[in-house]
Amino acid sequence: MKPHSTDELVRSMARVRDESLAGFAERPAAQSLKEDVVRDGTGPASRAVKPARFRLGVRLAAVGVLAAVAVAGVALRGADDAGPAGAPPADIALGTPAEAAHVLDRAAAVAATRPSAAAEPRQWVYTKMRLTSAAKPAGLVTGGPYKTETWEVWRRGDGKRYTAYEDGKPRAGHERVSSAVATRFEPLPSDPGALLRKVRGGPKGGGGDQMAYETLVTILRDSLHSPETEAAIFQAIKLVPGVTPVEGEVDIAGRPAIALGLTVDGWLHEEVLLDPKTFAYLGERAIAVKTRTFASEGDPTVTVKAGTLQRLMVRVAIGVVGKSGQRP
Amino acid sequence: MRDLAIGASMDDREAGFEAIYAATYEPILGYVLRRCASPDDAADVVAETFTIAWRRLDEIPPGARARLWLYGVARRVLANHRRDEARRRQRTTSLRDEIAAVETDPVEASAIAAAFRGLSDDDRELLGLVAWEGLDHSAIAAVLGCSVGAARVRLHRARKRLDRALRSDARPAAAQRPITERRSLT
Repeated sequence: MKPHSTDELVRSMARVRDESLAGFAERPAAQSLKEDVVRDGTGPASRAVKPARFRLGVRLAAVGVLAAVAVAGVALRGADDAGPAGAPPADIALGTPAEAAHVLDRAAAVAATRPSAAAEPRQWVYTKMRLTSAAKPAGLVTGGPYKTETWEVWRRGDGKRYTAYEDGKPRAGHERVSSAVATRFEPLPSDPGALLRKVRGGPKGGGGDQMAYETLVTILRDSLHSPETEAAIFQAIKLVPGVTPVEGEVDIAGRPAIALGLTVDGWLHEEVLLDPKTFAYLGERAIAVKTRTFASEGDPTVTVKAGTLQRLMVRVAIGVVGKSGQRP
Repeated sequence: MRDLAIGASMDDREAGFEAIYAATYEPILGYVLRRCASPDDAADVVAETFTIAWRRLDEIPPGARARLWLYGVARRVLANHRRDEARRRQRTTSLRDEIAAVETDPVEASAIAAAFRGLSDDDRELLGLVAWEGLDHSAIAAVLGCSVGAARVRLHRARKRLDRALRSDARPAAAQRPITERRSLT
């Protein structure tokens, strides 16, 4: 193609040259974007599925959902809500990391005494999850509407095969990918420090505290572990800086739960929910702990009030079965 | 019942994606930064572009054409970006900071820049693909999804329009003048 007299003029207006970007692909945020994208719920095999737009929700929103939000018993109030005028959303008071450490120590101690439930390599672990999240693909919840999905996932004991059903229909979807994330770190070290290092560094490297925390919660979510491993997971979560408990117990689908989480971007508490007595995994929740307004030039601003639920995931069932498709 | 085996194939896909990412991240970042002044918006667009790339991995052509395919995706993402709601506003702030560190030249206030800005989006895109991304007719056709002949004709017309704008001593309307220029007049 022949050059043209205007080419050089246009070139002079390039604010950035590719040459000056050399090495940017190797920088940490570029690397963690890559990790994020690959862990994004929607894998290449399932491109018809709408991507979860809300980044923080992308991976954890993977699974299924909780039915009527009212049933969840969580205060779901916000701008669009028809609740009593002016009623503020429930305040979320967070405890200290030391308190979280105390809870996780107890969780580890109790977990270590559980009978072993891990699946044999050729058995399948069945999990059923209900996920309540934003009805709009945009993802941010300012008070509703919410939607609920139910996911059933069979994960083979060796972690190499999965089957996923969404609302009763086979689905090549999110959960396969997040389960694959967990598999990547097997065998899981029983030393908490080694486990955290493995999850943090991983074969690909680059994940920060949030990624490490989310990965540990994912590992907890969708498989049954030996007592030592489960204890190590709790201890590894304890080693992630910044994990704090919600003060008191929270009510999840009519049952009490302990909520521990990491505050992301200063406003969103990404929580794992545990049974107050057995410390067994119950589910996950993301809830605004500070009122936050998102503004950008040319777009309407969005305000999310403190106490607004962004996502709730409840594990309805987990068990070992002989074949994929069987339910315990 | 259908078993959805992923095992090794998922690893292959990840490896394939990583290779594409390593080869195209910088050109895509450059492409986006040249068309999008805000590092925040650029971070969103880059992130969305690669999210789409991962979802549509099977469609990405091999070799050097992967970059062209991604330019096409980035182009559509940029076009949609303004219409989008606050949906990716929460993208990692670290990527924004990293991108904000790119050294960029200030937006030009020259007559050339004014003439360029006076062109249609399509014309600017064609000229940019040639001068900034260094593409030829067939590569432009791949990015824009048109025939090589159409790319040739459209580029020819865009160049002529820029030429004419430069030569006509086109004094931009006050409203279109860059702020720096307007200030200097007061």
